[in-house]
Amino acid sequence: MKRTLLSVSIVVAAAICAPAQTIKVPESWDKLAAKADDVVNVSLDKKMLQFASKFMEEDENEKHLVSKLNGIYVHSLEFKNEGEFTESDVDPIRTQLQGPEWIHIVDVHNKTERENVVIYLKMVNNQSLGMAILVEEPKELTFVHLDGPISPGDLSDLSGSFGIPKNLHVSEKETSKPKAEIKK
Amino acid sequence: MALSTTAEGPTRTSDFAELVEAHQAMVFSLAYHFLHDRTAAEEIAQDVFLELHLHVNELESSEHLISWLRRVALNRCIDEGRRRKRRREAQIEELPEPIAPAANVDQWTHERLRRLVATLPEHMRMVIVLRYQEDLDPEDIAAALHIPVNTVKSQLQRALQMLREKAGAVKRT
Amino acid sequence: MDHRQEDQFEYQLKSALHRQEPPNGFTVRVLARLEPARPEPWPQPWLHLPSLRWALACALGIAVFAGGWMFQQERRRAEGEAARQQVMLALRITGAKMQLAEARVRHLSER
Repeated sequence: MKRTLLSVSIVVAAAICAPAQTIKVPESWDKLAAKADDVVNVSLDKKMLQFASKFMEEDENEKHLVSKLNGIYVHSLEFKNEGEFTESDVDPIRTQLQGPEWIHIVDVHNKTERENVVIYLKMVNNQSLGMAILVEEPKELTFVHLDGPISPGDLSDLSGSFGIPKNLHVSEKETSKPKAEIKK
Repeated sequence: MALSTTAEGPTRTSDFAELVEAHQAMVFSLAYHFLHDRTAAEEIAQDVFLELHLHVNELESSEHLISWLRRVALNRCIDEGRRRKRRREAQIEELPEPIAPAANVDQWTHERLRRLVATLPEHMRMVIVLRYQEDLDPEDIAAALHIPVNTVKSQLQRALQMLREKAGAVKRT
Repeated sequence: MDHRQEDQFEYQLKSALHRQEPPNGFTVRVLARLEPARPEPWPQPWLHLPSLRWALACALGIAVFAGGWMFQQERRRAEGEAARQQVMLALRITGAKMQLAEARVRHLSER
């Protein structure tokens, strides 16, 4: 996926609005960004999401999902060469996701491909209050945090949109399990 | 002729036509004697009056009007002369002498003199035209051209000398 | 060349350079060129009417206000569109990473 370097007004606007991103991306990512070939930083707080949802006329599901979220934060770095980042760049994020409310719904470690894909769900009182995705690939490092009442069911409503898989169905029951971990 | 149009605002066509008629000979002749080209002289004269129409309300008296017309006409003549030089149009010296008619020697002499005037350097030409067409004395010429009176006098002398020499040379050939 | 001759030469010069009238119809030609270039008299007489002046001022004010409002709307629309694009980009990245997860899970399940 080819992405372009973004230093967009939305990030600036979001910075002005001081979005309360609950999971902090370590400062080392700023240094990594300087080395990266492609950088995507999207920080949209609730106010910006509600504003954006007014312009999303095509799909009611998208609009509904976006408007009920408290924030969308995406940080993605794509490098020319492998091995530009280390575990120490990712550990601070993992540490923040170790609280009791965060559960792993997918945890794949592929040594052959040298990929780690972990999907977390924030569960409070049996309610999903957020989702985080941390993906380490040889030349790519991605962290996505969807803050707000989002459930796998919401994502299945978006099946087919934005490349979200149609058959990634994780039941509420499954999500309440402590960990659904698959390791290779 | 006093400028009656300053207070009332834009010039009426009839008033302006009167101004043109009153001063057209002066403006046309300045251009004609400078360039020795009737077509170009009419074009320049027309341009001068079109410019006058834009500025007529700024002129305070008939004296002011006349000096303004002389200045604008001469400036345009200088521009046209330089433009022609750049375009390497046929110089007046290169044109054949007028054939002398047996009947009207005066006319032939005048035409020859006008041609010789048109071959003078531009500043001398201006001085000669203002002196002998407009009948201005050296002081008035100096004021009109914004140059010292002594410069006017020396240019007049040199121009006359050059004209006499050229006239003599033409006579001899 | 004596003074008499000199006077004669200057006299001839004066005669040669006497003022000449331009070709016939000069004034008409000047006026004809003047017609299309003549600026509109300003202000227009009807503008002296106070009510018309007020109406014009009001219309101008409304036009300025409407222009400003339209500019604001257009700017807001552009900002909204940029925000929407950001949301789309974020969700596309999310989708791509979920696809990756799904592919890995499916691969392991099939084994």
